Amino acid sequence: MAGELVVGYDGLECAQTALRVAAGLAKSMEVGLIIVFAAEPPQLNLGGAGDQRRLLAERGAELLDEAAALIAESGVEVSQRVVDEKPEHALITVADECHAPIIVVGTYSERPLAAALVGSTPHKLLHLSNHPVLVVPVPDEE
Amino acid sequence: MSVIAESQESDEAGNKGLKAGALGLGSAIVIGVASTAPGYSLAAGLGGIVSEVGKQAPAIVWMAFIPMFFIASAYKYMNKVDPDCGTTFTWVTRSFGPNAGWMASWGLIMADLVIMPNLAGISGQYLFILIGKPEWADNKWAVLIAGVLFILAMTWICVIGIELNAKTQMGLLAAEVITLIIFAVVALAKANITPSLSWLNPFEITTPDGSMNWSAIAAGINLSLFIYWGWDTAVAVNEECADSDKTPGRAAVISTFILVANYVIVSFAVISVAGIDKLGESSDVLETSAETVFGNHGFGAVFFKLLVIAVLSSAAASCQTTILPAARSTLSMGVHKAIPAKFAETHPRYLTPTFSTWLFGGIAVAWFVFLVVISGGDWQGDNSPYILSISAVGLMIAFYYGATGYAAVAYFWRYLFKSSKAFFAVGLSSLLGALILTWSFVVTLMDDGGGKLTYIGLGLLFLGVPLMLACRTVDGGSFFRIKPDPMEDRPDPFEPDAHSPELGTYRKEV
Repeated sequence: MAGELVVGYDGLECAQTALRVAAGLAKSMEVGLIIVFAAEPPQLNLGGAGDQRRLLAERGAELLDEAAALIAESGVEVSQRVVDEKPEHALITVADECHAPIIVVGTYSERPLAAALVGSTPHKLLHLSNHPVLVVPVPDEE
Repeated sequence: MSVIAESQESDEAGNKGLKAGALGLGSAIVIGVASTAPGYSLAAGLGGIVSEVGKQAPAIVWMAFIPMFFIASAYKYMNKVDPDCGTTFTWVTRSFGPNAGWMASWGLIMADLVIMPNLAGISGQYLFILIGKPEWADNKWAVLIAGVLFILAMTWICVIGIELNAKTQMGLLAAEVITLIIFAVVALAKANITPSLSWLNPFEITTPDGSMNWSAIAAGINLSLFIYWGWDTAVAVNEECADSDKTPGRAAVISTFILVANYVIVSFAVISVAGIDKLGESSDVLETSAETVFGNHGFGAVFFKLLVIAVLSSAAASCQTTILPAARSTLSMGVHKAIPAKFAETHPRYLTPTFSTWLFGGIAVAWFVFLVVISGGDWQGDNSPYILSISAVGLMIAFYYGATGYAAVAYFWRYLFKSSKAFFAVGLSSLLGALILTWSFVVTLMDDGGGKLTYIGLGLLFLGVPLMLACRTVDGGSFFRIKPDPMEDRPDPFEPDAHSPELGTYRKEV
């Protein structure tokens, strides 16, 4: 049996869209779904980031509970992971562990230049991942 | 349906990102050197040091390293038992209680604040030099505008959480150090004054009647603290992250050697090229002498631009390592209810402490504008806002590093007399560091005798007192009921898994 699908989640609209798509996909593939929240304070060897890290972990746990509730109706088997790493690395780590057939992420639909400057997670993921990546845009509201 | 909630908690602090365990010797050295932003530090600091002690600047440069070296052990051992949370803020609270912890943290935040005008000003000036408009670099309003934009841009970068990856940082740093060394070598070769080893001798810092000039030494050390600022933390964090091998220790020694040598050699070079008379007139000696050394055509012009770029990139990195710790400290204080919870709010998308960061950036802009406006015509010399910033940051560093040093001595008191290692490496070292810093703090202030520096230094520190009192209303004053960790619950820094109790375990009853 194939491993679970991995979906990145940060609570924003595009992540919710990605989550729903991932849940639908997991259901039709008859596999489980791992929802991942990942964030990491900047390093720069400054120390003193522990409280920020703890806040992020708490917030991540809350968001993942909300996410699980959002797709509860789908009946997909859901597990949650809060990871203290940069999102793109966290998603790949989790995907490696569970042999994920696909990583699903939402996108803010940024203009390419802005995305390149700010460094969007899907961008980096597409470069780094050795798993197939599905990037889900936010639907146009027209 | 079944929900398997298996939240994987983040692993104990410090093992992420620039994972020191995964770092080789080379990278660990680079981080130790990078922590102080040498290019920017020299551009900003050397002018003031030379105007205090003239040719003896190299002597001051190596002497100022002594208190930093000693105080690093306070950082190392406090970081070992209480890693990664709030640093000075939690450490001083653990030793001396919440009021002292609050004020020490205030000193740290003020240190970060007072250096911002300097960072912004230097960046503005070098930016104009880089784009070939040196006349704008001499216009205080043009520099003000560029500097304000620089602060806002750097704040924004911290808000959205951009971080250069480790390799890029290392590349930039290597380029910076190599450029500085090339500059120093060429400068020494073209020297107008023959460099003399006596410049390294602190006993030649004398008053006209031939006795030791202690006030110039104190002022010089006070100015030079800033060029080593950050080294100690980087060393502590590096040690903390390391697995077991000897890499971090070796890296600390080698990076220290490179850093001190680099500073000493560049100060030699600058003095022998430009002479002290010319240097005293300008707050920015690096650029003044680089022009002389490299000239303005051919290879020379290229190297000159490289040096300007090195200073700029180093200033940008330094700005980030100034804003982040300030925001991080206010975040920690917010989490522990020492200041309003608003400071601990993180942005839903960027996941950074947005309020803390923008507030700091905003106040930094206001402070910069204020200093430049009150500076009048004298904005580049000895009394310029830029030199003033560096003297003031020296005071703040001495204040909060000193507090951290005393805190370490008090915290580990009961272990200090159990082994000679504990006595020397933990106790004596932290105490000496703290005492030297206190000395330079007091003498610098006494010497200034009610000048601008006294007002800025003491004014900003004392401003913390009413603010602290106002914060006693936050969460019913719960933070201010925290008691110092009881003696018997303070861990032995030489135990392998020593760990302090959670901050706030011991509180006074309401």
